[in-house]
Amino acid sequence: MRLKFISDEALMDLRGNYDSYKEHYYNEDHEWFDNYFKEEGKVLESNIQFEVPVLNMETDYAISDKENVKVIYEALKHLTVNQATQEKLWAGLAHLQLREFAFYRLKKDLESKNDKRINTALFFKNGNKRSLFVHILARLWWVGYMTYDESNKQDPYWLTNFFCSKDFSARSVIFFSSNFTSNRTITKGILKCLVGFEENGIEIKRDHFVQANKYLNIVGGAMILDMLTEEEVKEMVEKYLLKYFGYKLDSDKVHFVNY
Amino acid sequence: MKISTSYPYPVLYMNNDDYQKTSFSTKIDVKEEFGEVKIEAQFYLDNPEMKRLIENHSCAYLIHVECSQTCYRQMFETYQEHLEISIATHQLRGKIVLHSFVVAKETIHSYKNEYLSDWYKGIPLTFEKGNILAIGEAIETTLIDDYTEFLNLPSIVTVTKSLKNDYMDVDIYSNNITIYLPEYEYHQYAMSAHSPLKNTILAAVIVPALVYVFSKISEANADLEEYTWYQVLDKIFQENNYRLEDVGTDVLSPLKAAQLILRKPLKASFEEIEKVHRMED
Repeated sequence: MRLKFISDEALMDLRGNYDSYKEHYYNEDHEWFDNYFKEEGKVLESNIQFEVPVLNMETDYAISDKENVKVIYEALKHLTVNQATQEKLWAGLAHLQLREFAFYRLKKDLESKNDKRINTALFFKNGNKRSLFVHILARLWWVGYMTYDESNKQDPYWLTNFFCSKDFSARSVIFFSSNFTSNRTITKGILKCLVGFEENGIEIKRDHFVQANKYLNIVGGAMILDMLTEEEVKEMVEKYLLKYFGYKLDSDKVHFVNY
Repeated sequence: MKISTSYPYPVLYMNNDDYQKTSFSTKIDVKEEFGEVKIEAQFYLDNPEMKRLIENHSCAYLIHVECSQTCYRQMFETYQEHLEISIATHQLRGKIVLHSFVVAKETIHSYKNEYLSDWYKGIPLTFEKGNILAIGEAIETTLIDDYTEFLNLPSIVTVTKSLKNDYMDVDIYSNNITIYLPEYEYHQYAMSAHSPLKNTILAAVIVPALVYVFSKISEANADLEEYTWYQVLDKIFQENNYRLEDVGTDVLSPLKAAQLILRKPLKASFEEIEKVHRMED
């Protein structure tokens, strides 16, 4: 099977006329969408191979998001990054082959008629880069791509599992909004530091990600961060966070100073 | 990557005076061929001490490549004065920013340089790995998507039907500028391709839409830069010795900008009307 996407015209029609079509979204009206896309020129077939994957649709998004990052990335690992930045591909999947999943993931927003979120979830409405980490399907692929660790043959998704373990939506946007997290060596260095903290019993919260990014932003003003190895990034961030949060490193174990 | 205006150590840079009578510059060429972006950099360093540090591998020349849209961020280093880089086009999209530097590869203690400004005399200087010793030229370039016909204006403007609005509306927050027309107007427009009044119809729709677009640019919304339509317009303006940033200022009004880009649409329109009148006569 080949991956389908929607034409520019169909994309702009759905985006621009959302107000006229929104009832079909609220009602999860598959029949209407099927008929809409039957019209000639609305759907295009790419030359990209694609087997529709079985996505996890558990009630708890904390579980399903984590699993689905791996499912989507595995199913579409062969996309080039250029292809993976195309709105018509992700909006297409959300309206065509993975529409069922889109409705599942937006259930609460469809019920509450949260038009703003429905729009940012299905289209690229947040700017080109940010949208990659906001769109309900694109963000699964992109978090998979950015956290996949090919150097770990046994479990290349070990950093993915850590990253997606909680607070997935906010974490994705906050962490990948920095320019330097585009460099996967830096990204992996930061994540490895945080995994180490977690293994030592520290509960990783949003602020850990925020502070790590803030710190590298300042340091990055005086040096080329991209020259650092994964290990060097890990050590630098670790040193800073230990100090910032008042943790103590005691023979490789991290403790709260106050405890 | 943003270039800082001040560093906690001296930097050889054309925009400061940390050094005297010495210079670093880089000539960067970028071209796209056969699915690859080829970057050629030639470094010109006129500073014996830094050259020595590069020769013994304590420092290196470096080209930093960043494409925010595809989360691409890589550096390429060399000890030679010439560097050739190839990046697969599918790794990149839209705007690419390239910077050039001389950077420390390891800690450099007791750094001395005879061309340092007097201000640094007697101050002990240490560079850590990754610190910047010199900054050369930076360039920005834009890759246009394969399917976008370059310099073909209609390809960055899409006209589509609005089901609700009774008035024309324009959406600029996407790679294409989309003009929404009410249903009747849209159908008339859609049939205009073979009309003897094609240019007139085009002018009636595109001119006001572009005036609207250009009036938005002057609000200095940096978010717009990442969209294909912005990049295409930027390039067209540059090639015609105008600057897109000037649109909406005293230098260039949105109204004139729209007429420039559409190559005098009113003239084309009246010439067409004159022709129709002549035919009727």
